[in-house]
Amino acid sequence: MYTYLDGPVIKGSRDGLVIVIDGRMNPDVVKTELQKRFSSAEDFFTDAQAAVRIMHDRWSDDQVEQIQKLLQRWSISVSEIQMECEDELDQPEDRQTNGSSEYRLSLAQDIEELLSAEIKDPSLPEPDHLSHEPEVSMEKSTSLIRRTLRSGQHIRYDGHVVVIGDVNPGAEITASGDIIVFGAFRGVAHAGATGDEGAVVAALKLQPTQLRIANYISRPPDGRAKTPEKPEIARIKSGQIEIDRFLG
Amino acid sequence: MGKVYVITSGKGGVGKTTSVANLGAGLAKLGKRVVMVDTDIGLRNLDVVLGLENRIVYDIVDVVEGRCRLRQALIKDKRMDDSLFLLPAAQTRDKNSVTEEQMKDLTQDLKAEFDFVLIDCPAGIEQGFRNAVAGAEEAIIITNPEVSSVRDADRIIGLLEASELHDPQLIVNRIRPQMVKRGDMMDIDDILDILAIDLLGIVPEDDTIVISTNRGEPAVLDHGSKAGQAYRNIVRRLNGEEVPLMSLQEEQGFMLRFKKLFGLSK
Repeated sequence: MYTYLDGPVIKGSRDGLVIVIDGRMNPDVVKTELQKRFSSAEDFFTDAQAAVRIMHDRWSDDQVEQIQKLLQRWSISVSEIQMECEDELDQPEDRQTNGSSEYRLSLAQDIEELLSAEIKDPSLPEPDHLSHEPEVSMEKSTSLIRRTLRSGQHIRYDGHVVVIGDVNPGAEITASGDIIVFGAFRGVAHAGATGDEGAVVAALKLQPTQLRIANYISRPPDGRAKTPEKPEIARIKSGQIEIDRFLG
Repeated sequence: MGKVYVITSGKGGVGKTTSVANLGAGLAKLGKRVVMVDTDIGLRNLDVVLGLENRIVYDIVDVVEGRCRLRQALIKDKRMDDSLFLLPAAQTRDKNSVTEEQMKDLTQDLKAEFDFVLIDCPAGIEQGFRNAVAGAEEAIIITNPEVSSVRDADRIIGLLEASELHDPQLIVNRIRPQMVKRGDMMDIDDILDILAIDLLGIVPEDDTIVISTNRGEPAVLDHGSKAGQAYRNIVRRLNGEEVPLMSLQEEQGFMLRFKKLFGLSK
């Protein structure tokens, strides 16, 4: 299970490490997290070269310097520091792998190559014709949760999330793919959290307190909304989140 | 060997302490040996509600810090023969004065001497809650038919599940049947739809609770109290009996006036 948006991401590329940091995070938290990763990896990163990218928000020179110092302490030389305020999807490095999700936690280029090699192994049976249809997604993994999510529980997953049960108010699901709930959805959903505007949220009873797809946020109309009778699906259409009846 | 119940809710003011006092007194009336433990250290209330505050010499912190034996700190409620005891909280300390390990030892000791150990849990999800839950085998969740209370109860159920306390039971307290009828208050089905746990009982909103609290005499002992009747039913269910849910419909019109005329109803 991968994590993302949860802390700094360390990727391998042909030119060395790329450390991607969500600039909206507290710099101290980022420092602590990096410290943890480096110390658990021991000598692995020593003498590596790293490019640092800070996304979504600007950091002060001070804060950036702190990260630099941290990296120096671990004998990692910083080749460049970039600050990017717009989401950038489909980084060139990603196209070398199989083009799925933007943020992945990986420790080294070697492991990545190994993983992608397994997927493309010619000795494995070719998935049938379905895999060529645009509606069929076989690249993202799916997490299946067979219980009701209670208030305060937060599921984060790099892929699709399916829940067989209810999602109570106060519970949250964040997924890079779709969110499907076979029950009543009364919490907060963030589908396509890494930027996929084609992601959807569907439920037998769609009654969220808030709905997010990629960078769009929507909430139910003010005043008491009627309990939906039929299953519904939410997706982005014409620049906003729209909810349609689904299979009913 | 007795069983340890934690009575919790998440939200404050929903009726945990009142329920512990009434369930305790009710079970003792049935002849069970009951001890009630107040873990709301710093904000103790269980003693007041039972009318036992003047008799406190030692409290739970004295016990865990070794200044007295457990037996010395237990206050016997003289109204209930030898069946009902209270282990009061400390008022001059706070919830960090007791650890989960100490609570586990304490409840183990109490289990050996009593049929029912009822732990009154403080509001919240912090150390006070963790202490109260530490030695518990069963959980009773108290909620009001009201959204914030249900939201907090749901959170608590999630936390209990994480502590391996499964299958908690629910008491819905302070129901106002007229409001439910008008659609102004959540009904039991709405609550069960979200919380999805077994219903132990329902208790109506009742002025006699205010009176009984002030007097230090639990309503479960008062035969004119509707809330008292509800608690009596719950006590019987805890004891293994099957008791139908009481009708909360207030009697209307002629019959009510007739009864009032003859002093058969308040």
